[in-house]
Amino acid sequence: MKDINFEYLVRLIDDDESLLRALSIYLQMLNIPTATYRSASDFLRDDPKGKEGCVVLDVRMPGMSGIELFEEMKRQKIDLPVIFLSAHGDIDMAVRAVQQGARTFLEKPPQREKFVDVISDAVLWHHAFRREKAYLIRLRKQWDSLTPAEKQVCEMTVKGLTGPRAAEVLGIKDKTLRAYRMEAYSKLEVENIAELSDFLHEMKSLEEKLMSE
Amino acid sequence: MCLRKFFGVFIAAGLAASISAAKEPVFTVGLVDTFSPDFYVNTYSETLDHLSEILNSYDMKVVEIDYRNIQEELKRLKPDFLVSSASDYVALMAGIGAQQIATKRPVSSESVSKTVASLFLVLADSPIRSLADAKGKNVAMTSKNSFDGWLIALGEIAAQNFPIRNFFSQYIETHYAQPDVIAQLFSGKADIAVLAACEFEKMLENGEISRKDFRIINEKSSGAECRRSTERYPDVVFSAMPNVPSDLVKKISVALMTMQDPRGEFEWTVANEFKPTFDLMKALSLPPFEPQPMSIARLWREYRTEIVLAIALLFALLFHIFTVNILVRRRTAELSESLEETKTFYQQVQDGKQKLLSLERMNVVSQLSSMFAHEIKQPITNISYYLGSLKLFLQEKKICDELADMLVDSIDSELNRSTEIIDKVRSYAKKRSGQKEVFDLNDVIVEMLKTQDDGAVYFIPDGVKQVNADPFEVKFIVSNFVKNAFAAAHKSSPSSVTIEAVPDGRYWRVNVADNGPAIPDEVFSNLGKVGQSTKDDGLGFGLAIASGFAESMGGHLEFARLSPHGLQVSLLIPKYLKNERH
Repeated sequence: MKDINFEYLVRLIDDDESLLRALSIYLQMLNIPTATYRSASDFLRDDPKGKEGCVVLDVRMPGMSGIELFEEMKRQKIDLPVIFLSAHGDIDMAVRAVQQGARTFLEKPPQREKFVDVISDAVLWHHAFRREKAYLIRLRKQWDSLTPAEKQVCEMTVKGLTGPRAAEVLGIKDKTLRAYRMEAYSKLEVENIAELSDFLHEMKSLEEKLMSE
Repeated sequence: MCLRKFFGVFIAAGLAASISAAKEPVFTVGLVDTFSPDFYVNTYSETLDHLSEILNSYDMKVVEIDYRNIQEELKRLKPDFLVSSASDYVALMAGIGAQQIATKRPVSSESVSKTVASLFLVLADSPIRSLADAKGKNVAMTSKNSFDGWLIALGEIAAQNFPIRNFFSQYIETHYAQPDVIAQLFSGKADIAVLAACEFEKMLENGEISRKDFRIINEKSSGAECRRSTERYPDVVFSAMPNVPSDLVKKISVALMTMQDPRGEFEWTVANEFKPTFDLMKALSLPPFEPQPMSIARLWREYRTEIVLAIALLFALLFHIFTVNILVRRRTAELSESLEETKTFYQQVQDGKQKLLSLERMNVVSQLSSMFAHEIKQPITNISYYLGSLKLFLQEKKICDELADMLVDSIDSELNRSTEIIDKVRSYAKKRSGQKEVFDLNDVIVEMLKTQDDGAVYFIPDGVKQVNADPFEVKFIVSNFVKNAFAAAHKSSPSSVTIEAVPDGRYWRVNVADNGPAIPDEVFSNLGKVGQSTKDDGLGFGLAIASGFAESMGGHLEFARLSPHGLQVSLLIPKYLKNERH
């Protein structure tokens, strides 16, 4: 198990209690914290979803199936990465699940080492995802504290339009423009055009990245 | 003397013709001769003499009308007056409209309408006692055209309801010559003779025959009159043609009525009863009642109504046959069409059933191996992970033992081998790749219901229910539900199975409910798992396979116990949304 120095939880969901027990005992031996659920609805109802980690999900379950739960999670914007376990080797189902955002599709019995690797990858990914998401939220918040005029000035500046030309385009006085820029720099905690450019670039690329995941 | 007179008439007529230009006007008397020669002498010539004497301002012509062709002869000779027997008279009266002006009455006759008759005569020793006995015998008569010498006799036979045609076996006509009818009797050629009444008496009077030698058959006479075997009819009729001027008719009538027979044997008077004569002619089918040769014109004239009716009937019949034919053809066509439809329908049902069956078989194998894999892999996974835990435990406890390592590794490798075997087995069963398409759930359910024949299922489709799945898999699932439902419901009476398809959030829910027996908790919780059959003969694969299909189409199965007993099995399929990628 790769070094993980943050709090997380691996959720195991399967209708077979014996399997839940075998898997959780093994993972706990490796100091991987686990929570087990015997059905999709148990998970949806009881799980502390704010906690980072991942979900290990059996495809075939009575009532709501693994695939259905996965779709329900997407609908509820539960961002936990999902690792499917299937005894069927149903390629169609695996392809579809992965296409729709499942992280991995493992056939039963998953090789122990590989299983642990997949889990830790997922947990790390989720940790990074949550962190980036939090960072993006912070950047977004800073950016949204700007007035529309300030945002306009910032975007002009990044495009290379500065001074009187920009003021002309925006139909404001050069002095006013400079006042706006000073205010924006202060709000965004940047000191020059290069830092402003970094800020906007970082925010946009993070937005794109998280959106695609 | 009379003969002389008679010929004198002819001579006078010839003279009259030669000087006709000076002597005006002319009238013609015609004779239809069916009489005995006596009539010429004793009646006819006397009458003509009298007429020519009274009507001396007229030129009187005398013609003879052939009795065999009266109609033609009348047209040719155009007589104004006719002398004929009563039988010929009634024919002429009904035909061209001749009208009696006088009828001969012999003084011996009490009534002018009842004068002439016939007599059946046999030899005294003849076995013939009645007319019935005479049937098939030989008969002799003077002439078949004689009214009283034959026709009246024949009428009597008809009156006794014997068939007159070929009543006798042989008919001997003597034509007023020798050997006469009496001679025919004596010679044995004839068994029975027909005479005009009074002829017998005349012959007796003349001493020609002896009374004791003969017997009269069917005698009807009484008192002083001549002996007879038949009813009596009028004698000779003097009639006027319709076109004769009434003045002349009157003159002739008066002349006849006032005529005095020189010998006082007869007088001309008026007969007022011809109906018996009509009836006689009718019985004998003689004119005016003779069967006329058939002609289309006559047929049309006499049977117009019947012909029209018959033709109408024929047309109606033809029309009926025609319409019936058309109807039969149309019905036959309709019938064969519906038969074809029924056949096609059953073929489709059969095909559908076959398809479903083969699909079921194929999928039983596929799903069986798949489920076997699933089920066996569960414990294998567990063993593998317990083994992993054990390994970790040994490490944690710092137990480093070669034997322990070897044992753990061996178990691991056996586990891998088991997994490989399972994968190999499973690969034998080719997986049928589901053909997804967008369709209306109702259609598939209705079609599926066609293939099930366990009993009545009530399903009322309501609104379009689009899904994106493999229709065969949906059919398989629902038909499995229905089959199970019937198997359970048949244990209850009355059994009831209902099916419905309703919306349920983002799913369509197909519920199949039965009123089968209550299901114990243990059985209920294992529904849909491999090897858990609620049916006595079930293997418990149906629902497990259905479950696999449901999952592959992004749905699942649900089970609910009904109160007081029975089960509801549900298939939940995601609704198809138009922007969904397929």
